Amino acid sequence: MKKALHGIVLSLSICVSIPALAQNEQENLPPMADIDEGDWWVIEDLEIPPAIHLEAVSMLELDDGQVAIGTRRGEIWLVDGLLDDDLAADYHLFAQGLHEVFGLARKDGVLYATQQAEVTRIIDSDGDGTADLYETVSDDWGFGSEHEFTFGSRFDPDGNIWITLCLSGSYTSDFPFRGWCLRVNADGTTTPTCSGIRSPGGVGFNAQGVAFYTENQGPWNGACGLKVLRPGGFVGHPISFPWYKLAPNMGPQPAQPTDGEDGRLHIDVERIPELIPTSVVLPYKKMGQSATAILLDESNGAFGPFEDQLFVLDYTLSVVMRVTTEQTAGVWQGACYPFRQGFSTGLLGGLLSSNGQLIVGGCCRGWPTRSREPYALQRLRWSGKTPLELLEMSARPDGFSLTFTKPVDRAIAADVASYRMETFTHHYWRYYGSPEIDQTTPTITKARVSDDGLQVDLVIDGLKKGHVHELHLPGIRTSDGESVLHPVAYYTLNQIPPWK
Amino acid sequence: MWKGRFLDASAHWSSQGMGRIRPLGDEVLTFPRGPDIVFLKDVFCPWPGEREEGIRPAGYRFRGYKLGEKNIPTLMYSTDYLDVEETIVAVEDENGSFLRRNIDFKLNKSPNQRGSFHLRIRDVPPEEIRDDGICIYEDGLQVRLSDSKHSTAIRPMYTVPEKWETWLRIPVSEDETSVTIEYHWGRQNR
Repeated sequence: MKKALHGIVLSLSICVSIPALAQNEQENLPPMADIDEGDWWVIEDLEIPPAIHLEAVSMLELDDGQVAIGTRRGEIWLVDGLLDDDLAADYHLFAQGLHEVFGLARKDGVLYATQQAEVTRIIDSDGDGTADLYETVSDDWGFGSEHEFTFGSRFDPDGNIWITLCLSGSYTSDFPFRGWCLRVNADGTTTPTCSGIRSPGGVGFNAQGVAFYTENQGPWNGACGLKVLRPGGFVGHPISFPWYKLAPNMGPQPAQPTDGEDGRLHIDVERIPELIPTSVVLPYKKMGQSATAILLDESNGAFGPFEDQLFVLDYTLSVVMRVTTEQTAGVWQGACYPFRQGFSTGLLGGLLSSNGQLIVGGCCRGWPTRSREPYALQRLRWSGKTPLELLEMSARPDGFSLTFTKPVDRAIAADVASYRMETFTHHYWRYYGSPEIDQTTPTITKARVSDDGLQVDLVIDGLKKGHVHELHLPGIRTSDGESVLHPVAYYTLNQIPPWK
Repeated sequence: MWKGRFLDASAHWSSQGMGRIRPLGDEVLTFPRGPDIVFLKDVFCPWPGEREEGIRPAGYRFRGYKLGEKNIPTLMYSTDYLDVEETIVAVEDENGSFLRRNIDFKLNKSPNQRGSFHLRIRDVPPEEIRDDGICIYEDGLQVRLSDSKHSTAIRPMYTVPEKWETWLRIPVSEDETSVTIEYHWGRQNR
């Protein structure tokens, strides 16, 4: 019998020896918090057709409620009915053969996929419902191995997809622009934008249209965090400096960080003008352990009271965190808050739909996760009931302003004993991660409660610029005795606002 | 190029996605790394160096691919002066199985200098060139130019530095140029 034959160019990747995940590594993950969030935001398991191994890592809402899902296995599925009430939906394979689709965008009715080695325009030219033309929009960066993950945003108003490029193996920068953010225009123009990235997990925009990405704990990153992508900036990891020679628009290479025991990010920020402090630190294990996708609530209240706020997924702990951002003296900063735990796989991609459904997906291969489903697609739906939550913590010249989702008991809220605050920062050094260091305990001297009970201004003695301010609300109640569902927030105080 | 089973991509679908993807078939024949098609001022210019892993050759830009019949891809890329589309299909006829590689060239910019375009077939010389133009290599590969409307031929080239390779001069004109090359395994098809 004649043999079938194939001839093709091989796509090769470098052999990297990664030890199998130790069982105890998984067992050492922190347990879920003893909080029942199910009365407020309900997790639903969405049905995946048995023939589909859906490792969903990027999602995009299309017209008429259709959702595009990109997968780690390199497919793009078009799904009808995912945003309806039913748990089942209709799946249609639109494209395949891509490489880790960690970004989906659309412009003029055409889908764009961010995959490891390129941004690709994907077209169904014969109208049969399946892609047949894969046009390379940009591949102006190097790629050599599987751990050089590439994450892409949707289009910004200028027609750019913002991509963040993981370091080689998340430690070195072996090829051009590993560890950089680039902006890729639909016309192919590619603009070096930021250096210093380590191991990103997602990229997206806040309500003001400013681009942020999620960074993960490791060298030069004491904890995970949300970092703003300011064009021309350096976001902390200096190993990607060699590619300034390919980016004349970025100016000269920044100065080297201090490193060692004395290294502190907020101190080096004063010395290195390009260095951008982490906008919102996501304290390790307290919030998550591997931050991924960034989702903006644009549902006009359909998802609850958090309109215009960000939700950040976490792979390791399978949780969704909530984040608020604000700009103070030209610097982005803000707070993070626990939101919802209990998802059944490592969360990598998601969508917060216009009708207020938070769809999350992912898988748990390659790195330890607290949950064990190999892959899953789940929907988080607001029950319509609003718990007492800290809606937003924002900085003031003399402390913080707290806004709640419903009126608090004014007498309790005016008692400074209802609060507890500590601060800390991290080493800024070449070593992996950092313990919390330089702890302080500021004094809350006054709590001014608004007449409607929705806002409390805390006057604080001992604000620490550059520190994470960890606020606990153990005593706060409504007049009915309802306590705060998640009585903790972490504010990264990069700048203390000046008095106006 | 190889015969038989395709490849096992499961390494990219498990764990972190690491691992080298290898052919599952046999009779694997290898080709030189680096750019296939270049413009040379004269034939004594060395072939541009191997591509460093992760970095594309200067002037090259991959432009994507389109899927045709049976989802066979046509690869699209550009060099300094050419837009190129090439399709490789598996063919079976009375003499056996072989690959047919069709390459379309279109000038996108004039070189404005003397010289010519070349396609590097292999980085070794053929062991034998038959009267009908079929080049036969030591590892059994047979290569021949077919369906060319142009006056050119696959031929061994003595390159710098002191090495024999196999090149095809491409007679690019203002119009689209097309060449088709067949790759046959083994000596049984002679």
